Amino acid sequence: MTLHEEITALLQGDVTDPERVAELMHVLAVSPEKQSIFIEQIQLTRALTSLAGSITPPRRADHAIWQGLAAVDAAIAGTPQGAPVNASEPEPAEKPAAGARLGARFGTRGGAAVASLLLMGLLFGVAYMLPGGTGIGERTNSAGSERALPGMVRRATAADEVMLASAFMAAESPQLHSLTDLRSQLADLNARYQAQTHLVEALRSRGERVRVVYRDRPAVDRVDLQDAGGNGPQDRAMQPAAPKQLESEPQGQSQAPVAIARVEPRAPVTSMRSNAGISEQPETARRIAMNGSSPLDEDLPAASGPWQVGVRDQFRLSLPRVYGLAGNRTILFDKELLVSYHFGGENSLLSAMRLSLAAGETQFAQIFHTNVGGQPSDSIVMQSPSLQYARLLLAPELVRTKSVTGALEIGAGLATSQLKPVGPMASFGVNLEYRPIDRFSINVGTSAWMLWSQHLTSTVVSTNLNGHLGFAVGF
Amino acid sequence: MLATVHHVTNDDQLLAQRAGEGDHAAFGTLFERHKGHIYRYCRLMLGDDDAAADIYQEVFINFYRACRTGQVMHNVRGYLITAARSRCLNSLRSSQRLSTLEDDELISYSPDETASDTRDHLQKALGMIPPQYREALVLFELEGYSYDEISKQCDISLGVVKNRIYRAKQALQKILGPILREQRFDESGENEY
Repeated sequence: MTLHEEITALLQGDVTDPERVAELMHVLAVSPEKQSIFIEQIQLTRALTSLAGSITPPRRADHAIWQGLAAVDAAIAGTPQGAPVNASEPEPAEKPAAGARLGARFGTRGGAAVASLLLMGLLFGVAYMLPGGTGIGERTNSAGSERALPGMVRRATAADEVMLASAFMAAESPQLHSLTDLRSQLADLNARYQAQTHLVEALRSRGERVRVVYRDRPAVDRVDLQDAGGNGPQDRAMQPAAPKQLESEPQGQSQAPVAIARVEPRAPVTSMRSNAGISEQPETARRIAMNGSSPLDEDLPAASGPWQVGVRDQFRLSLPRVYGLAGNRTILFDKELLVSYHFGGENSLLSAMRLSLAAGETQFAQIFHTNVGGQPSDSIVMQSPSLQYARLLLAPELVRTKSVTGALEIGAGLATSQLKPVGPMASFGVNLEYRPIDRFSINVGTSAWMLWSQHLTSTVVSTNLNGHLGFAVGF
Repeated sequence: MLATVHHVTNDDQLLAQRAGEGDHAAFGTLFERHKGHIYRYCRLMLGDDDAAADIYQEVFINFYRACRTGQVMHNVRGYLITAARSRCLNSLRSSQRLSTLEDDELISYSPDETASDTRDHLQKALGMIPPQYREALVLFELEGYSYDEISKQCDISLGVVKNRIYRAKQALQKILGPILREQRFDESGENEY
């Protein structure tokens, strides 16, 4: 421990051993230089104390808070009995849409919008590709989960109706008080608005009946749809159970689509929150308040702990066919063992990411160039022998939903042949992790690998392109 | 160090419960009790009056809304500081001010001519040190949190807490050393020890 640390510890009350205190005092007494450090620390502490006393909340902020109370009271009083309470204001553990988080990592609000669109496109693609469903609408209706598309669609019952909530409802909420919140939500809302527009186009292109409702009145927090018993979809959508809770038919005064209803005949009575994307927040805040714990757990992938052990099958796709050599295959399968640790995330200073240590065996495509005796240069392509390798993978997350995580994978390591070093290697790829059940995940992805090895006096860069499929168990 | 000692009392919980019933006086008592800490934390973490005021408002209005919606507040202070911390980190993250500063950058600091007194210098110096160090120092020195409380609040080990506080102080001393020495000379009228 340096003297500086010891002085700090002394002033913080961490040094309790009388002999150590006496020794330290003696050192301070005989050394002017060390006295100076000691005095500066005391000065600093005094300045900090003085600073603490000088910072007081501005009156206008206090005033705004008291005004805010009235708005909250009004909102609470105006909420129908039994209706979900408005949660349009993000709670402490604010968890923006995954796309917006990605955008924030890119550092711009525009990035957030682009990232949200990318995320929505990915979700649409997955919905179309998964077997057993014919598209977004069917999947949202047939899924067991209440949430259909994160932050955008909330399904009310097991069938029939999908209400896409307008981001503008949240923007119009009287309970948004701060510019900070508005700025951050605006970027999110723009992205959601575009995503909704795309969804409408997608549904329409598939022949779905979609009705876009334009708002010309202040936002509502809740939308009720009632079975009108034989009324057509258009009529039913126009008949609110509680007139104050359902927006009117478009008046042409605003071009912002606020709600998109896709209604089939004979739908049961449904009730849904319109501000779906952040409706879970009160529960999060409650847990924080009760436990005083960090909301970090909320941000970890839902179905796994921080540690994972997994196996991957590496399908090497790019090994060129080496003609004339018996037994060469262009696609090979190798196992790779990984141990991973997940860290960072929301409420942490680091972005969510995974650090993995992986080991396995692989082969590379090696290309040598020859120029012997004034002959033209030839390229010789060979398949390397099987090399054992170990690599460290850093995988910052790009997108994350409750059950799917997409991440970059940047790796570096060392390849050996029969325990003799061959050279350093690096890899760069993407991985998609799907968690169907607790503690179990399926991984799929692709990556490009490079190996630097020495051939005679020159360095040879060997490559391969891998696809991988694997699984991991979390704990 | 401030001699402020916080106790999580049942009183807070009771007041929060009454606030949840719409009792503004109960909210007012809690507000007066905690507002200084929350604003100070936001102000020192963000280094910006307006941004701090925004978050300060959000935190208390959300707290009131949470009370009104029936949430049981077992730890009011914990709820408020967690809310403020989360928002401050979001704000710092969105403004890309979470990057850490290297020692070399700290050394290259030159006293700000516009700073009028030690407090100004100190505020500016606090803004220069990495947020994670700043946070630990603010919670420990200014808000009277114990190592253990900071450890739980920030989800880091006790050793890391101590290290961050130490490094924060060291950085501040490095930045403010010349100013503190000058001030000492001014006070003592001496030119050297």
